[in-house]
Amino acid sequence: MGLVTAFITAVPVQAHVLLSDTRGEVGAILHVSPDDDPIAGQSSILFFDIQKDISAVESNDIQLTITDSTGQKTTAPVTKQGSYISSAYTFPSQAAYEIHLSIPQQHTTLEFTAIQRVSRGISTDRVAHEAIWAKTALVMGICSIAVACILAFNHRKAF
Amino acid sequence: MTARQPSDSLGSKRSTSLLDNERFYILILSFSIAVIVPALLQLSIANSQLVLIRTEQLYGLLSLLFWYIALLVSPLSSIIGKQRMRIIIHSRRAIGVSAAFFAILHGSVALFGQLGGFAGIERLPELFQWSMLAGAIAAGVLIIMAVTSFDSVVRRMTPRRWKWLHRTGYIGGILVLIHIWTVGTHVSYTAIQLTAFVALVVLGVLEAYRIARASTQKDSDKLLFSILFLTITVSWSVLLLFIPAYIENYHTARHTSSQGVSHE
Repeated sequence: MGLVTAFITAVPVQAHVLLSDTRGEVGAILHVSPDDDPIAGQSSILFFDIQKDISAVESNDIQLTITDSTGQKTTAPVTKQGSYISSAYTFPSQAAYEIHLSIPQQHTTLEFTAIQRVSRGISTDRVAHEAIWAKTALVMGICSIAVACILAFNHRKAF
Repeated sequence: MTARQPSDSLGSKRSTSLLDNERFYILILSFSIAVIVPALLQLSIANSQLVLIRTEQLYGLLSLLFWYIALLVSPLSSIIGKQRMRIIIHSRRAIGVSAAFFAILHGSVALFGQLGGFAGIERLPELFQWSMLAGAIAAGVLIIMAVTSFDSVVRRMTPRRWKWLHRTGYIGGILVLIHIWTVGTHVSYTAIQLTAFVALVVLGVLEAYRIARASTQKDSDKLLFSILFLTITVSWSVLLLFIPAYIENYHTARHTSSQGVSHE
């Protein structure tokens, strides 16, 4: 259990989220540091690995827009290397943000959208968890382990 | 009325009651953990995408831990003695089934939760696709082993063939190693790399001992035993050390090369 806890909490993680463009033709891998769980008030880095050749596109033509829950939009500067786009951005407070990446192509524009919830750092409103199923499952899981332990102890001589 | 008492592979009589069977408790424990993990994450993380990521990662880790324990049992029992490890040897099938169970959950959460179904695979980078294929084959090996883990199947297949089939678990283990190294999210950290290296070397040393001992039955073969043992151990360790040189890791290759912007 200690190893599992350490796995969740102690180590920064580099997991990825698969995005599809609005037409569902091109994929992109999005990674947000730190830990895919950005901290409001601290700088985060957004990484996009586009699964298409975008070498002809200039960095200046790529637009990264971040919209907060009130609809306020912010444009973040991006840098490009090959098919890899990254941007440093500081989420102002805990909320759900829409991240929109726009890459102009010769005849069309690649558009990617992702929702990023920021739940650490500066807080303006904290939403309490009301997942009844999770609480029920947790209690049932712990109870079944406890019952199994008691039964196993009582039947240990048969092992 | 007395219950029929079949004997296990070690010849000891066992009760047919489910509550007297340690495998039953291991399966209950695995099922309970599988329920607790997403529930605990759901209650502690607000971001639903992150809940999926962590659930998938933890199921993968649990599958790996169960598989590692299952692989460790045979070589360890050849040193410690089968009678001393009687309970763990008998539990091994349930440990293997648990590994398969968590592998299925890991794959399902990744495929249907994170990728949005099979169509998502097409949009992944090529390295991810190859890595997922290796992971899927490894999970397939685990599932085959789980399906054939019943006594009736062992009898029908004959123990010799069954053992050969279950040795494919080692091939699956190598595929898992490739899967984790290429896209695993924690392997780019030194502490994790060291832990994994030590765990794999321990397994390699135990296997080397078992193979060397099985190949040299006579006392006069001590030199041959030492040569075999050292050769296998050193080859395995060198092979592990050179993994970074011949297999690409997605994170190291992409994130650190991005115009000097790197993350922790």
